Order: sequence, then structure tokens, then C-alpha cells
Amino acid sequence: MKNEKIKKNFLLKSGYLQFPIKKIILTQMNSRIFAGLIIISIITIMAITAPFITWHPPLKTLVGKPFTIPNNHYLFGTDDLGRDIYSNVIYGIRTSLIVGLSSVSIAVIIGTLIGVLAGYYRGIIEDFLMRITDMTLILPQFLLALVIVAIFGQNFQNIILAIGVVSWPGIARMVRAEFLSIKERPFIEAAKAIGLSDMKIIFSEILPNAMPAVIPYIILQINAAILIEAGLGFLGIADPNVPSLGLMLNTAQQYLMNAWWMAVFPGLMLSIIVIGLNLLGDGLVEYLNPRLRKR
Amino acid sequence: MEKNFFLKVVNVKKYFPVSKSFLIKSQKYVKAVDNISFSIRRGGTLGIVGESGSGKTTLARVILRLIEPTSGSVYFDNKNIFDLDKHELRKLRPKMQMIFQDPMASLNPRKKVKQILTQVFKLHTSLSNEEIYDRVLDLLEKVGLSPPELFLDRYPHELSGGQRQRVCIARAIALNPKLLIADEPVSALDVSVRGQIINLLLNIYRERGEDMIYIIISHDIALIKSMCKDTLVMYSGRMVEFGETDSIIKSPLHPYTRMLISAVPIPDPEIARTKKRIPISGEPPSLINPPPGCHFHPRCPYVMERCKVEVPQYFQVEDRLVSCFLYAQY
Amino acid sequence: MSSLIPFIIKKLLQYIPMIFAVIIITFILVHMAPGDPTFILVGEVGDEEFIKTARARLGLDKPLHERFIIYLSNVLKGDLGYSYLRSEPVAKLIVDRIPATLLLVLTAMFFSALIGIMIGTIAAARKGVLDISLSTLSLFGISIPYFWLGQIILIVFAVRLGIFPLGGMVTVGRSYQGIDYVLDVIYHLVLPVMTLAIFNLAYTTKITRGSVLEALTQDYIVTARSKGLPESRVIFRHALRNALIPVVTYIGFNTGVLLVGAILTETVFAWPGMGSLLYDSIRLRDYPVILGIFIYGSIIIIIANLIVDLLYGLLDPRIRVR
Repeated sequence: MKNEKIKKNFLLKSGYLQFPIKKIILTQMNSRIFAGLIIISIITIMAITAPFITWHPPLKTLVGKPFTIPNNHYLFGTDDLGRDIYSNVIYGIRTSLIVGLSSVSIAVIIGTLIGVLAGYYRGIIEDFLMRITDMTLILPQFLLALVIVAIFGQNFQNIILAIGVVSWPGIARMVRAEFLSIKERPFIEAAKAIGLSDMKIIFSEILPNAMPAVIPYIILQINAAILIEAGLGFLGIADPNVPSLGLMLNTAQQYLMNAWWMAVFPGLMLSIIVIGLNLLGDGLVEYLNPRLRKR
Repeated sequence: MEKNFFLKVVNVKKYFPVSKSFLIKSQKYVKAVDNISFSIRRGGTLGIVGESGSGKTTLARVILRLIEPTSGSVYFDNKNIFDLDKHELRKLRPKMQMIFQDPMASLNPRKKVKQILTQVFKLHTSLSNEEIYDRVLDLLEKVGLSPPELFLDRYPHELSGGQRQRVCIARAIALNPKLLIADEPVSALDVSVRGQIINLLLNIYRERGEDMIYIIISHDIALIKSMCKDTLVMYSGRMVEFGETDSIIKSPLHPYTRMLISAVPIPDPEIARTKKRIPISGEPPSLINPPPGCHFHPRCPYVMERCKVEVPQYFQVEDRLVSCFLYAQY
Repeated sequence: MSSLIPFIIKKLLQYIPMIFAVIIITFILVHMAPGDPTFILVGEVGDEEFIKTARARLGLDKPLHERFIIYLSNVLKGDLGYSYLRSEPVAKLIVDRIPATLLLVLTAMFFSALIGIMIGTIAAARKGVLDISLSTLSLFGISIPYFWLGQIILIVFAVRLGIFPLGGMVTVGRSYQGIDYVLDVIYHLVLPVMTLAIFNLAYTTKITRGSVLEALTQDYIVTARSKGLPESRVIFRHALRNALIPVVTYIGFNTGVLLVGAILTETVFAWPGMGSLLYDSIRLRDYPVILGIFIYGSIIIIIANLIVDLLYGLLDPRIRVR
């Protein structure tokens, strides 16, 4: 009976990427990771359940009198066009998270590819790729993203693509550094000895061991992406058909004199998201780097 | 695989360039393996001895082409391994396996024992999942990890040092290799478990010894003596002596071999008293700037003028090969 | 000193290609963008005659590589095109705005460095409650988007309390002279600098603290203490002095972040620098100006990095050898 169960379990295809989540939660859960996880979970739940916890469609104008001060019905008040700020803030979280996740996914794909190529094929290819990476790292990411969206057209996909395209260099550097150190470890030679192909060695032996060190960095990069999106929105570069915290702050800028709530609530929510991700990212960096933990 | 297969190593060299900067490629090399030739027949056991840094491990890795050789050829299964392309080499891999020095480091820390072992079968056989499962259980039983079910879901860090090495051995013998190289298989282990692992290796040899070639790399003459019929002595990347283990230990020819043998503690005090011990003197040579001529000459008690300029060729003494001018008259 | 000249040359060789890279990236983006590159390089202009002359000047009828040469030489000559909407050359528009932005960036950098180094050192010297509250504060400092922080500061200090102006660089309608003019600018500078400095302060404190802690573990600190020097002297004279190089380097390399920060902050306080220019250009779709600000902004950042790199090598001879 027991044997059957093991056999069944054995036949299940086991995933390669085993990040020590269980270990973190059970053993050395550090308070920052914990706080970060709680904030991010609540934010994520709010974003997912947005239609159920709001009672006005986000972008619809004149659901109330323009410039209504926050009250029981319009929790965060209304804006210049009579839109419900509360709905827009909740849907805005959604946008922020989508932008953060999808643009960083793009960045992770580009960054990992470049990092792996540079790490695996040493020599001229590496020099060339790393030189490009270093150059891109110095350029102002925000301005580059801004130029891309401005001239390619202000729509949601372009914003995600642009942020993704400017966010890869840091990831590429991290992946390469990890890759180089893992590549020299004996189990890679052992994998070669049993006849694993280069591709398999890269993707099933090296990368899963490289990722844990890169993951905290990826979380911080999600944070940066969310801030870039908000910054672009604040300068008026946004898709008008998508609720965006940054764009709300842009609108609020004209009415700071009399409608403080238009600025306060979207910014507050943005800050909470960023604080949550910073806590999680910093906590993970510290957790995975024992030298820092001692301090 | 042919019935009477053999392993033949011909003039194998591995030089590592020592480049000082990115632009100026310097002409200096570390000659980790310098012109080594030998051959073993099916059923043969060879021990490679030498102090650390003598190029033993590099030689093993070059033979299996885990690192690319500088020149030479290795014939195995009637093919020159160095001529194979990537694909052919991968197909040959299960036939030639290696057991590594540090079992912890040579297991992927993020894979369970079952993943490590099934991977081998998935790669080189077309067995079904159930068949693989049975084979893996047999394998674990064979290397002394029983009950095997207990170990399937463990990660390497959840095993003891000896258990890890057993998993490594299981991985190496999974597909019945014809050539098995064990690189210092016990030196990273606790003294208490060394005996067990050595016994395991001996059992594996007894079971299918006639059908494979065994190479043990060690700095431990006693281990070599217990396991290997032939011995190859390396010094500073070169082979200094090659022949039957028993006769090498009884009457070492090369001054370096003598030094090495006399350093081995002898358990019988009667014999030990009668035996003259030659102390090991001097430092191992620099790898980047080895001494000219015979690399051993600065430490050799019988050094001649000739040794300082000329590299000695191999002289046949009875059934042995020795690289020393002392035997030039033979 | 002999290693200095090769070091400078090496650094120049490293940074100058970056300027070319910026121009190449811009050129590629413009030509990859959907639609006619004319609109991006000239702006969305209705004036047929203007477009015709502009196209001829930019070589837009010529093949791509010739066009690139024309573009490259124009940019290197400092010609970024002409803003039809504002009837002024783009380069002049931007160059006119650079001093205001630099004033904001440098003032904020100065104050955040001064305060950050002080707080960071004290935090490193006394661990405990202060340490925890500081790391919490710096978490907020790092996390809160500074453009929003600017808005809140504006609401509180200018709208509610009314003790600072709502924006701009000088009081409109008054023409101050001499010292009065300077005082008026400073008065307007307070809030934007405060915003930008709070944002930068968090990082500076964090880096200083780490760097001083690192220095405190070194042997010369043990020596200094064993000589019987007072602790404050050990920390400020010995530890801080050695910790300062990485901190200053960090502050320098952070110019890029601060410049982008200034661009966003300017928008909040209507500070007449590159940021406000960028904001207006986005609204007006004045593409040549947007591209120009990207190029000039990148070049400023590259030059700042180069200067810091050179200074670093000058201060710490070990760097040069590497």
C-alpha cells in the first residue's frame, strides 16, 4: 500500500525549480519577509477581487458629482470628471501589478538569455554582451522607457514592453555572475559525464541553482517597474483606457489646491505596494546572504 | 561493444594556458598532463598514484573528455574518443563513467535522489516509468541504500557523506559502464565509512569486473594495492613509472616511486624495522615553471648532470616502464 | 602618477562609446517606430513648407545609412532639430533649462549627502532603537514615490500652511534684483529640494551606515581605540574618513537617479527646468524636444559617471591598476 503511494508519487513529473519556500516559512522566517508577504497578499487579493469590492465602474465619468469630498459612499471622493476614486485606485492596483509582473517577465527572459549566453560562451561573445549590458545599465531607464512609449504610441502593451525592454540589464548581470560560479561546481561536470546535453545542463542543472539568488532581485525589479509605470503616468504617458495610479496623480496635480484627496489616496496605495515589495525583496536578499544577516 | 575491448591512451597532453591579461596572450602553459600513454585490457584494473597537483584528476577528465585535450588520442570501444562529435560522445557517455571526489559537490543540491537516478535512464534508455522505478530501486539496494524507498525523496543534504557517495556510485554504475574511473573515491569521506565504500567498490568489481575496466585514482598506495592490478605513477604531469602493482610496491624503480612507497606506513613492525626509509624531501615543483629536464631532479638523491637538461624517455625494465636515466643501460 | 594618463584614457574609451550608443539607440527607435519618422523628428506640424525644408535638412529622402551619418553629425554638432511648436531650436530650449535642473539636483545632492552621512554615521555608531527606527524611516524614504511625496509636501506647506510658494522659481510679477533675487529663488527652492533630498537621503544614510560599519571592523580602528582615543574621534576621524570614498562614489553614480527624480519633481513644483519642459512637450507631442531631453539627459549622466570614476581613481590609486 505504502509502496503504491510512493510509486504514484514517483511517477509524477517533479518540477525542477524548488525554491525553499517551505524552509523560509517554517524556519528562519524573518520579520521583513513576513510583513512583505502579508502586504503583497492583501494587495493581490484586492486586485483580483476588484469587481466585488467596488460599486462603481472605474473609468466611468459622472458616477457622482465632480470633486466630492470622501464620504460613506465615495470612500476616496470623486475627481474632476465625477469618477469614483476608490474604484480607480482598486483597479489601479491591478494595473500596477500587471505591469510589474508582465514587464519584468519580459526583462527576465531577455536578461536570463543574455546572462546565460555570456556565462556559457566565454570570450568575445561575453565581452560584447556584457559591454552592452553595462552601457544600458548607465542609461536612464525611465527616460528610455518614456521615449519608447512616446514615439511608439501610448497604449498599455507598449508601456509594458517598454518597461520590460529597459529593465533587463541588472538581471542579466546577476544571472551571469551566478551562472559563472555554478558552472564551475563539480555536479555540472557530473551531469556532463552522464551525457546531458548543453541545453539540459544550462536549463535543468545550472539555472534552477542560479535562480534563488536572482529572485529577490527580480522582486525589487518588479518594484522598479511599478514605479516607472507610475512615473510615466504622472507625466501623462499612459493608456487613457486603463486605470492607472500614476495617471490619477497626473490629473490630481492640477487640483492640488482644492481636491487633496485626488492625490492622497492613489499615492498612498502606490506607496503601500512599493513598501510591501521592498520589504519582501530586501528581506529575501538578507535571508539569502548570511553575511548581511549578521549585521 | 566489442567483446575484447580495451582502453588505449596515446600521447595525451593537456596544457592550460596561463594568460596574464586579456589582450596579451602569454606563451606560458601549465602542463597538467604531459605526454601520457598506456593501455588496459578488458577486466583490467589500474591505479593512478601521485601527490596532489600531479595531474591525476586532469588525466581522468581528459580520458573521459570532460575537458578538451590539447593533443593525443584515446581509443575506447575501437573509437578515438577525441574524434567524436558532441552527439556521438553523448551516446558513448553511459559506457564510461566517473565517480567524483566530493560526493556532496557532485550531486545537484536541488534534485532528489530519484531525480538524479531516473535522469540517467531517461537519457539513455527507452524504459517505461515503471521499469525505471524498479531499476532505481534495484540500484539503490545494490549500493547498500536499503530500504530503497526511504531514500528516493531525499535531497543530497539530507544524506550522510557515505550515503551520498553511494548515490554517486549508483549513478555511475546505473547503465553498466565498461570503463569506470573513481577519482579519490573515499578521500572526502569520514575515516569510519571509507572501508564500507571501498568494499562496495570491490564488490562491484567482483560482480562484473571481467566485463569492465576499472581505474582508481588515489594518493593512497594501500588503497591502490588492495584494488588494482596495475599502477601508473605520475609526477608533475608526467608518467614516471608503469607496471604491475605488486612488483612496483616490492621493488620500486623510479626514485620518486621509492620515496612514495617508503612513505607508506607498514603495519608489521618486524618488516618495518628492517626496511630502510627514504624521507620525502623538497617541495613539489612549480606547475608554471617546472624544472628543466626531468621534473624530479631537484629532489632526486641520484641526480646526474644529464637529468637537468634532458627529459628521460621510457625504459623497459622487465615488464615495467620507467622514465629515469638510471635505467638507460638496460 | 605614471598610471594616471593610461587610466584616464581607458576611462574615456569606456565612456565615449556610450554617447554614440545613446545616439544610435535614438536613431534606431525613431526609425523602428510606426509611421513616418518625419513626424517624430520634426513634430506633428501642419505646415507643408516647414516639413519640406526639414525633410531636406535631415536627409529623410536619402538611404538609411546616409541619414544616420547626417543625424549623427547633427547631434554631435549640437543640432537636435527645431521645435516648430515653440519656434526655437531644440538644443537652445534644453540648454536654457539645464541650469535650473542642475541647481535643483546639486542642492538636493549636497543636503542629502550632508545629512545622510551624519545620520548614517551616528546610526552605525549606536545600534539599537535608533538603528531600527532609522531603517524603518529609510524604508519609507526609499518606497514612497517622490513625485507623490512632492504633492503631499505641496499640499501641506504651500496650500494648507501657506508658508512656501505653490511653485515656480521666482515670484511672478516682481522683478527682484541682486540679493533679493537670490533669496526669492532660495525661497522657491525649499520645497522641491526637500522632496528630492528626502528621497535621496534614505539611500545615502543606508550606504553610509553600511560603509562605516564595515570600516569599524578594520584593524586600524582597533589600533585607534587601543591608543585610548575617545570613541567619537575614532568614529568621525578614523572610520568615517575611510568610509567616505565609497559613499561619495555612490552619491556620484546616483546622479542619474537624481536627475530623473528632479524631472518628476519639477513637474510638481512647476520648476522651470528640463522636467517641466519634458512635461509640456509630452502634452504638446513635441517629439524633437522629448528626444533631445533623452539625449542630453543621458549625456549628463554619462559625464557625471565619468567624473566620479576619474575622481575615484584619483583618490584611490589602487583602482587605477585594475
